[in-house]
Amino acid sequence: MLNIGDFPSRTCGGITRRSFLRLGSSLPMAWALPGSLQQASAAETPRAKSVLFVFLWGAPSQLDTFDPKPDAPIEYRGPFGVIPTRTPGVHFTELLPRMATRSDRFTLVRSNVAISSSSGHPKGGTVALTGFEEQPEPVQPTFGSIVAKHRGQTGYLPPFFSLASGKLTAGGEYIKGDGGGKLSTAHDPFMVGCSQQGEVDIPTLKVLQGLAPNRISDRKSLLNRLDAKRAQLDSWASRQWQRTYRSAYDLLMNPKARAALDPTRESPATRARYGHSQFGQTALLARRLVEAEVPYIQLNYSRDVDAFNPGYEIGWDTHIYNFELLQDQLCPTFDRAFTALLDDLYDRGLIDQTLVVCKGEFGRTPKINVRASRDHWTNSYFSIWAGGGVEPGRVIGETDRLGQDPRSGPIVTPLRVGTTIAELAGVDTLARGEMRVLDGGTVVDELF
Amino acid sequence: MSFFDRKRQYLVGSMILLLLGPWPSCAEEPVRLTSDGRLKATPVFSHDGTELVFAVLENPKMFRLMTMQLADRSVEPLRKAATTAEFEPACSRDGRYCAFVRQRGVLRLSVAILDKQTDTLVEVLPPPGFAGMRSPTFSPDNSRVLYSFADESRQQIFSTDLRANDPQKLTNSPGINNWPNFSPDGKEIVFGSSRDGNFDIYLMQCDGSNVQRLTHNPVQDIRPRFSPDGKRIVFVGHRHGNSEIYVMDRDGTNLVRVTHHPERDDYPDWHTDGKQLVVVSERGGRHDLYLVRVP
Repeated sequence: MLNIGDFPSRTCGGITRRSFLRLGSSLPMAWALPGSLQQASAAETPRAKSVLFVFLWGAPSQLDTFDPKPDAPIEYRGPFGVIPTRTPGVHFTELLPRMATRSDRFTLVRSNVAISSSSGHPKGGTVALTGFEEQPEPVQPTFGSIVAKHRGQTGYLPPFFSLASGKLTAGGEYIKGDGGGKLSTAHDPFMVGCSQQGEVDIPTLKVLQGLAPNRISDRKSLLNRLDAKRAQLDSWASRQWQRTYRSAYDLLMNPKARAALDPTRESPATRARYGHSQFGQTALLARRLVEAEVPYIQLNYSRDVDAFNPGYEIGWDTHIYNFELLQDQLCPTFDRAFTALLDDLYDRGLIDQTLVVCKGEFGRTPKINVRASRDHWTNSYFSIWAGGGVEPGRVIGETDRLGQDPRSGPIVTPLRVGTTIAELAGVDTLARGEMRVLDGGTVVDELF
Repeated sequence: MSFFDRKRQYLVGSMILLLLGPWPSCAEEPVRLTSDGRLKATPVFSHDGTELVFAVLENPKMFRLMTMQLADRSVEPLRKAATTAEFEPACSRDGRYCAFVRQRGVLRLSVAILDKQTDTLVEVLPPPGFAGMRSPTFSPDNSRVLYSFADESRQQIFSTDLRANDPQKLTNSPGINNWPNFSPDGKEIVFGSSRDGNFDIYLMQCDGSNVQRLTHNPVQDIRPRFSPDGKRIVFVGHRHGNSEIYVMDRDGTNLVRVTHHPERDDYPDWHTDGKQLVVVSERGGRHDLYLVRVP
């Protein structure tokens, strides 16, 4: 990746912090190219102007969160108590008290099923984000890329954001299915990271180190410096570079775009509600992007899967100390930030035009493993749905007494998740057929 | 350590607490010790009460151990050279040793025992594969370290000497056993366990015998610690809907709620004077260390 510097996110009227931008070959182009391949579908009014896909990367345990089995034998049930929710007869574990008091604001699906041959993270991640396995190639596009291609750029921001400080990894291995896939890298997400202080990091862009704020508006000097870097590239990369530069420059020059990408503009009270964690402030950034009517936002918790892996962010892959990790860090952070996000969408009148979907790539073993923790489990897991016409306050699907397999309700596969998202985002059967994506998928009608 | 050494520690620690100011005129008002708001965990007082050691989430990838001098609240890393996560510190009563959990690779954790006099580190290493130890704590005579380790689908409490030799399993029950803490006289160990369903507080003899259940609560009671005089136990409970701090007598009676806030209060440790606790409290979405007076 080519590092060409940094710049402050506000150029006048008060510079409060610095954003770090990088220009690289992975920057998606389609959203910013005049007359590009975008397919604007202005005639359609999608039910969900924005899709907010919250990806719990690493796979949280369903039994220790939203599908507790307090009457199961001790080798299954886990150590947590259960608490009632606002939905009669429905219980969560004690780790999710805020979610419990807001169960009337979302619908919980307990009968998600992944593809058993993809129980590892990179492959499982591809299935979760595309609905299909990596093989046979070409890799299918992720849901966000499908929506982005169909909707195109309608405002001043790219149509597909993935909120993380870089491509998602599992122990350093990337997910193949987190981008445009067979639709081309032009429909990859625009990646944005956000720190617990609310500082935004755009890993696919870099601007020159030491670039003074007043020089942002000095197009000529910026051009000169960028051109000096461009000269170091080969011809293909140079063409990419030219387009990338225009895209980045246009984005950075747009005050509305800079504002949308700056969660520190929120009031202290609002920022506090989300919690001053990386995920909390990133969730707040996601809400700002919803307000800006970005068609698809993937909010990742977190960039990496492993709970303990030197040099990597702490994720939901809890092969050891599952229970301690959930109660000490993962669930409190999620419970606070996700409920703040839901509340905000409701309070601001955004929930009806926004589809919120929250899930991991699979679940975790109902039977406690040899390390007194939980491993990967593809036979059953949960997802949370809100807004976009989803009827809230319900539980769809039921697992057996040990939480091993669905025993009633719809089987909700990743393909069905993607198809439902696409449909609500305006990518109807015809459009999906034209793109040749999500083939064979059906909508989860029980959600409505 | 002689009686006079302990008395001196108590006096020094108490004087520093008085100097911390503004000491609350109202007994219920906590004193905030940090203000950066980053996620923190497991603060423990040093043997003389003059210092705190705690873990802070330095960035999304790294927990680092920090020390705070209570006299001026200056904070610096315990081990500047640490390149992997270190957390859950424990201080020996003679002030010589510090134990903590150390990240050793992908899903691998050791218990490290740092001899501050010689600046040497020994480790209780996990077996191959995903494995690790948690929650180290010293015996009052500074001869052994307790820790929690998961094996055979259960998590048990073990003991080792300071050279990481002679491991002994002290519990042998179903479920998760964690957060061991010695009584000041070294005769008993209080700990959390899910052996009867959800997490509750239990007491056993230092050899693992005669286990007694102290709390009976349908939601969790965790992280117990004996008061310096051994008469009371502080712990974290969910019985009022979120994570709060409670104190009870050593036999489980006379429960007193210490914190009252809709946000999280967690990770209590007793000051050496037995009148204050350090806790991690989440306020306005920020996590900081606070001193709280025990009712």
